Amino acid sequence: MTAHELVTQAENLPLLSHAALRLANLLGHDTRANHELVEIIRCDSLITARLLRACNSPLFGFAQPVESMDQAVLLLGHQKILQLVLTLSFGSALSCALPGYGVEANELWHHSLTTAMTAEMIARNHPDLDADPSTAFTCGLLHDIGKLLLHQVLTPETQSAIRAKISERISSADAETLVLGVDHSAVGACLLGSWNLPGSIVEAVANHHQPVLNPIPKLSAITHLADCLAHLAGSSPGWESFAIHVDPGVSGALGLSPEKLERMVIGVRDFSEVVQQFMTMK
Amino acid sequence: MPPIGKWDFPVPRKAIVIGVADMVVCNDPAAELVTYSLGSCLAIAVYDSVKKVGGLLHVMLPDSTIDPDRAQLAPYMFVDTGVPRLFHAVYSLGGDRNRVVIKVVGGAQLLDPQGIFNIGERNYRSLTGLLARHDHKIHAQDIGGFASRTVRMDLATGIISIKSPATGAYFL
Repeated sequence: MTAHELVTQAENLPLLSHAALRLANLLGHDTRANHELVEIIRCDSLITARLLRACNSPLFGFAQPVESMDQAVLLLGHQKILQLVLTLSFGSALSCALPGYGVEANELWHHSLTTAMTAEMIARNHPDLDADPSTAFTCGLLHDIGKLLLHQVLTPETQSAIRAKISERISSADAETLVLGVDHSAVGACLLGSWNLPGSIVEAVANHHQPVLNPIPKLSAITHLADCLAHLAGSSPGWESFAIHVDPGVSGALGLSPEKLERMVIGVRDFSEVVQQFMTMK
Repeated sequence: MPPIGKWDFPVPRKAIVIGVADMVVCNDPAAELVTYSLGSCLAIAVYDSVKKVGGLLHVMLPDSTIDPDRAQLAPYMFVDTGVPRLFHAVYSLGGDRNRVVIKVVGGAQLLDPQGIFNIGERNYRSLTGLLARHDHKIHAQDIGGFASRTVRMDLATGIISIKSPATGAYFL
């Protein structure tokens, strides 16, 4: 089975609004006019309502009620609005349970959002990598989206075979490839490519378990580190969820030491709690 | 119809949830302590079966010297600042250092041959070093592996039950 076959034959592709995909395509473009964002978001009444609800939640704590999209864009700025809309849009797709992976409802969304906030932080703290923090956020948010499709073809037999491989200290992604012929990274990248998302995001999702580090670390390296940090900070859903092979080059390329990594885990734990508040927001 | 009190229903236990970087010590034998999402973190359980007092600590990192300010605010985040508080709290409810049984769960590991990401192992080493310095030994443990675990302590018996997405419950 190839990633392309899986994407084209899948029966339950994640439902995403046209507005969310158009906004994802705006990532990485420097010239984004306020009215352009507002027009796209206003076309989707569900996203508009959810966004205004989020803006009026204690999470943002604005003194005045936010009543319109124009006001929301002015108050939050382009990056935050984009992140929030993408989070709300992909949230419903990522919040389903994936029994084939041992993932309960909302767990993948929590992990994806924690990874997203971590990837944004890494991009912001590493200007030398020349990575747009907002794009890094989206890479983190979408890095495991391939699991939504791959779990549809998991059977009790293939699950057992994957877990048997993991017990031999093979990573879960490599075990997927050995048993199914493809892993969730490749499937996710193929899906995002079919939605015409920017190539940098497709690269990051495709390589988030084998990051590209040379000549400079690409978004896949940021996503890889963010994914590992989210697992270490307690957002680690699924069977044998620590069976992730850490790329041996990533520590050197991003200047990591055990102490620095542990300090980062503290910050990611704080993100994880913000995510929990966001997910339980009334 | 059996008389009142003879129904064979399990009594629902009062679950007290311990978050990440948190601790609870309790002497209510009708309750259980539970902590979720135990990956590379450690759950350290201390129990005195005579006084029926038990404590559960969920620590995240081995050494508070990396962030002393955070250790002031959240001492249960670190092995070196959390574990002494756990023992003192158990003793303050009547636990005896010669009777307490110590059980440890967690410390899952990513596959990192360089060891930089092996926080689970560093947590465990920090704990065993600290316990050895105070002449304590671990009575039972379930350490390492790749799974995230949920841990429960029954305060009537001190029995620890462990569950992960990959397994049913097993006991320590």
